[in-house]
Amino acid sequence: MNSFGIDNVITEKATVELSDISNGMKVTFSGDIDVQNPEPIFVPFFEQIHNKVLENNIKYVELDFSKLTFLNSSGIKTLIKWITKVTPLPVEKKYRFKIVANSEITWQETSLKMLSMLAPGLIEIQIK
Amino acid sequence: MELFKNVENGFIEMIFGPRWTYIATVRTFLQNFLSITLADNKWADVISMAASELLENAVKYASDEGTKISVEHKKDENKLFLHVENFSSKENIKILLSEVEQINSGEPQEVYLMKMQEAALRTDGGSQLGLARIRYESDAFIKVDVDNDLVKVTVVFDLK
Repeated sequence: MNSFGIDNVITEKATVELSDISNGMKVTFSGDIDVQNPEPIFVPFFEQIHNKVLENNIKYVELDFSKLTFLNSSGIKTLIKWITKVTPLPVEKKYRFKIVANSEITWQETSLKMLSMLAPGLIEIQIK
Repeated sequence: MELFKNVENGFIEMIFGPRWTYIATVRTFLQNFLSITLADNKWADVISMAASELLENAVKYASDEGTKISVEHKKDENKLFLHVENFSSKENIKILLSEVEQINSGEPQEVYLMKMQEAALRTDGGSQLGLARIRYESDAFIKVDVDNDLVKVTVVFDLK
């Protein structure tokens, strides 16, 4: 369990886990996110994290996709909704993301790079 | 039944009911099959992703039974044609034609970024990102053919 007390998301084909790291929080994605409508599953989860990050004045969130084999465009939309919650915040409230991608999984390099263009300066990409 | 002796151009065709549960199975099959056929994991990944996105649209917007996916590899041109056919309503066909026109009209990265910004504001279940994502990730050409309520979306991948 993480210090926020937020339950992980476990679906038939995917797991999304929140954990504490020394400089912030880490969200680890694994499996396939390919359900027809992922919004009811992931949007409330990401909103809980966002609210707790703000409450606790945390400035760094790592999103590790290296074990996620597939993410459909509806799943990408849930991440867009999270990231675009941070962009309009005043500077003192903003927090940074680091996206960890796997170079062996083709869509990660391309699709995840595009997320950084939604919030220039707020998202760092590490491809390993 | 006819078995072709000319296997110069590889061809796969699958027909099934528009059911969400088939999509992952087809995607995984195509990824495995194309990684052997094309001897290129990156293209296999991109084409199977595109097939998955097109099938998701086909299932979401189908007005009747019957979804067909076919993959044709034209070796002499070094191009791969991915076709997905399904039945849809006039309203949804009109939206699809407009989407494809918009996606083909601009630079792939700019169009994808614009669609992502629009997706952030959408409150319905859809993302309207799939076609822009395909074009951005593959630089493929997308076209639509319509015959009454039958829609055929074709994505042409230049494998050169």
